[in-house]
Amino acid sequence: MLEFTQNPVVASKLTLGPWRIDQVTDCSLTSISTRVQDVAEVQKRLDQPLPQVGQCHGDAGQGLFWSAPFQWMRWAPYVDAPPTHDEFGELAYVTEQTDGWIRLDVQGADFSPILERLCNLDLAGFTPGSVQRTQIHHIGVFVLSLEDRLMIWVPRSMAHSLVHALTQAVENHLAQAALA
Amino acid sequence: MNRLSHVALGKPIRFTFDGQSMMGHQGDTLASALLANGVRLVARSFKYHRPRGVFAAGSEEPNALVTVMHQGHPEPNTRATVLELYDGLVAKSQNAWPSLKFDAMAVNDRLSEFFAAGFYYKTFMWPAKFWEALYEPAIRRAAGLGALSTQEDPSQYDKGYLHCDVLVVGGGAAGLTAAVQAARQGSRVILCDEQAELGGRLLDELDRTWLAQTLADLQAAGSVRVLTRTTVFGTFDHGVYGAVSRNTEHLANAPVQATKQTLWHITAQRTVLATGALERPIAFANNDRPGIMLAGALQCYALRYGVNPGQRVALFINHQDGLLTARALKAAGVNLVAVIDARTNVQPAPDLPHRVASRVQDTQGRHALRSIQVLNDRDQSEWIECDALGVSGGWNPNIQLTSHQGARPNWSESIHAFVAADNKPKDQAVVGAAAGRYDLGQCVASVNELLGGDWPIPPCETARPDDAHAIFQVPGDGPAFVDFQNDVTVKDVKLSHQEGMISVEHLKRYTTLGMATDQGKTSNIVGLAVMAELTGRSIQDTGTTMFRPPYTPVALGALAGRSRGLDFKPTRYTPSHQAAKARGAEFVEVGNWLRAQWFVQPGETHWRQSVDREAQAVRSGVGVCDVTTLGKIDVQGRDAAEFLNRVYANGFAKLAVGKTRYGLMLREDGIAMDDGTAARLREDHFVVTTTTANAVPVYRHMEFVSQCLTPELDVHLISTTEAWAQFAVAGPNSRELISRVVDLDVSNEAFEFMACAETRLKNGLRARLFRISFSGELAYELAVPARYGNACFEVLLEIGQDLGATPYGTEALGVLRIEKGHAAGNELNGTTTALNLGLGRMVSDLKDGIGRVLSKRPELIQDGKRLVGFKPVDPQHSLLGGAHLLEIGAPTKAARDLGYLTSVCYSPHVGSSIALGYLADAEDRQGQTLRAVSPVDGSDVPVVVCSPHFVDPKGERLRA
Repeated sequence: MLEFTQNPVVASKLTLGPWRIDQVTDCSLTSISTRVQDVAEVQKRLDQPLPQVGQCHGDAGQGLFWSAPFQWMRWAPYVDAPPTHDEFGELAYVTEQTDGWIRLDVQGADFSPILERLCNLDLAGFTPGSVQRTQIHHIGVFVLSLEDRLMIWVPRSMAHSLVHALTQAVENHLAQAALA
Repeated sequence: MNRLSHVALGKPIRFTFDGQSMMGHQGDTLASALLANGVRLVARSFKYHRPRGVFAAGSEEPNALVTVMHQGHPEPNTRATVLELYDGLVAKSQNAWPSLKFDAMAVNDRLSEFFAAGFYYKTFMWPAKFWEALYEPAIRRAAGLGALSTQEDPSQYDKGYLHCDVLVVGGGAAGLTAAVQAARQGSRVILCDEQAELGGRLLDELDRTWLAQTLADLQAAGSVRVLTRTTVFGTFDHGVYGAVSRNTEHLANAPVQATKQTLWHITAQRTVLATGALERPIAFANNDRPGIMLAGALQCYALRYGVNPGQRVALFINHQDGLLTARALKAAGVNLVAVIDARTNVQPAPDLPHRVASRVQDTQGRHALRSIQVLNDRDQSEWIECDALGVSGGWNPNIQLTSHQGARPNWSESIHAFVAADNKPKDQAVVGAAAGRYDLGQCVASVNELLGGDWPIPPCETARPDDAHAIFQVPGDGPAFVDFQNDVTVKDVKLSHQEGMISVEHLKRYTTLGMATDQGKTSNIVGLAVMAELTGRSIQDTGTTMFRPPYTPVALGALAGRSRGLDFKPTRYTPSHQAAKARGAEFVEVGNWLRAQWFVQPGETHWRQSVDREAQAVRSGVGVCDVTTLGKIDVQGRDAAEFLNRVYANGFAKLAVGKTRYGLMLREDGIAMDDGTAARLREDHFVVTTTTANAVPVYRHMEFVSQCLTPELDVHLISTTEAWAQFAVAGPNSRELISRVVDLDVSNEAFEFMACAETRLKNGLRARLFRISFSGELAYELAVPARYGNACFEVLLEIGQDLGATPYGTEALGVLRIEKGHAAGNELNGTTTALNLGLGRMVSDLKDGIGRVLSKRPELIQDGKRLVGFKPVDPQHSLLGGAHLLEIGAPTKAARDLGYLTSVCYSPHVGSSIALGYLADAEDRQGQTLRAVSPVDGSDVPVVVCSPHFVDPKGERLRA
């Protein structure tokens, strides 16, 4: 009787010129927040280093990115279970962020001509393994550069507006490029 | 066509000016094409409507402003000198009636004696009320520039962000050298130039060998991003520069998506200003006739565009560079009849009609120059026939970008011009003509010095700015224009000085010198020089007005970029938005959120019908409302409870796990800031809720407290507002509805009022349940992961059909909370205290909390206003929010004000309008009849003071 379907996605196989944008729903997001002195111990528990400021590591399936001083976000395949608060004991506090954000993956050609119209990123240094908290169309977002894609985390309620902004910027760029 | 033979013309194209079809060539500007077609008269001046022609060849143009149709939209005040010609271009003159040639308003020129500087400060004084109604509109109509269409600009604009190691502003000799050298040194370079083609004034030379080689070097340099048609218009904080690229204005047909302009936000580690220099005119009688222009502009039109400026051409100069201009013109085939040189210390050049120690004193010609009067050093005058005159009083380095951050330029006696101050922004360096180093060799040398390069110095003729004979004006009888765009004459400057305008800032404002679209690019120095002569001071001591961004006008559309209309800001959708829309919701903007305000059912024709129905459904059955927009802040840490003790006025340390508490947050000054709840999910884990409006301010406040006031506490904060879809389920049937959904014993015994739990729905989905009530009814708030919000809303309404489950919106939510006497934003309005709200006992003295001490101030304690309820004596009367309370019979004066109504609504439960409001001596006035008076709309309604709890004052329903 209680059949819950998920809310409609904002972008699925959305093709914009040489780029494809997909909302990835099979993904969870968890905030991990530590104290200064506990970072090393948390890394041991994770069995991997916590990314430095402005850095991320991982792939389409899972990874970690730095989000604020002594705070990281972990993405992983979606499970309908809250993160366990016991994972790190008192070393770190975990908070489920999964549905607070929508993950949009951008694949295809170099997205720099679009990003430079949308957010204040120094793209020359924004190589794979970089993350930036920035604004796109007045929306606070995380932009991650991975080897094969850009990953954009946008607050759920504003994801429609972000996709609209991306679409508009691509249209503008393609129309300008056609003039050259 | 007035064309010279040395230039290979581009493809012929047609355009129209004032309806007349003409022929130009690809590569022309509108100005060059008009000159080539023999059009001298292109505009009327601002105030006197004097005939004016093209005066410059770049963005400094003060005269040749036209209205251009772009994508069917008129673009006024477009400078013909920078507008690239395209096929089908339609341009119109402006500020003339009925036509440019026969302008009726030219009578102003005959009456110019009455329109001197500051005339409107003195002339239109009586009667005062006529100023706005009559005088100002009439003056505006008589004077001015082009007119706005008042239609929305159909063009699109976009914005972008660029970063570089070195930003080079200006693509002339110095800029090109700097860009190539910096790139070769490994820097990421952005090179901006406002023209379509790189080269700057090198494009005005016959020999372009050096330019061609340097452009090839630039091409090979690699890491240079070249932005042509791009004006860097402002220097901002931290190495940020504003620039506008013109993308489609040079094209006949471009798709609107290609965007007319792009506003670039450029962050540069270092900036090289190679912005060149602008030539300045000399003021002499009737120096504004069409055909008179800057000497450099004359050279540009002749050598770059192949336009023969006239059949008989003269120059009026005061420096060696003027002779170079003369020789270049001669080489291009221009018929030079006189080179009038103000210098007395030079010998006449044998290869030119060179008249030393001479000046142009006056001119003749109605719609175009016919002759000039030349005065020699023996005071002998002679009229010389000519139809074009090039004037050069020297060069002013373009240093605007160096002073946008407050550095006031320095006067250089050696080059008779202002140069950049030492306290200009630290990231900036100035090279080439912008540094007063005018010729090609000096340009390259200045870049070598800056970047440590060894670029070969090309051989060139030396401009020698230091030999200039400083001459700014020639005394005479006619109007000698200093500022062409604002019709400011030497006489105006003198008059303003006579009338006490000693400061240059006053001079500017009294005469309008240096204002409007050209910002005095050709007029400022001449104006200052005349002022200096009058005061007997040096130009350095006279000072200069400051430059502010933008360097050239920037369209508001470019500043807005894509953020206009519906795209002005992002829209936030609640998780149940689609389901609400399907159920007939009317939405209201709450910040960026769109919330369902009410749901229209078939047959409902007025919003009150919907809202009354929804409120009654909650009181009699059960209602469901999306309250996701309320802020949710996750507070974790060993000291989370102690932290909440500090930020809330009331205590939280002893709140049991599984319980929720209403909390009141005060500002440091003791005023109520926000209210909400904090639910203790675990010993070290709370979820705090805020009002929708204060979700961000409260989070920011708590972060401030955590980081700055209580860094010793172990607390971690993160917003979870968007992560959980949350629904108020309120009404006597709410327990039954919740029990059908949630896998938890929700009996009153097992889950009492103010309980909370992390739980699961019966389908296994994770959920949070809170037994809290805003409506005063038995109520719950159910939270599920946001991706299931739409489904949860639908399911609650589906399975609760037999219980009367009804969706309700923010309006019914407001009615229900007013009936219950719950405070909201109207009551927490930034001026009220816990005492005012009737919550004084919540400010605990047993612990310290933000705002506690200052909430005890005598001034706040003595403010006896309290939140109470009001009903109209006559139930047919409506109440008005904001109405003030007065005693019956008291005069309607602020001194007798007893308080005011904060929230009003029609209460279907009470059957009349009801209100909450703050009232002085409220306890003594219970049952008393007062007047609710609104002088704004003239209402005056008798009201009875009552309890703010119109529903269930003992709170039995919500605890049932």
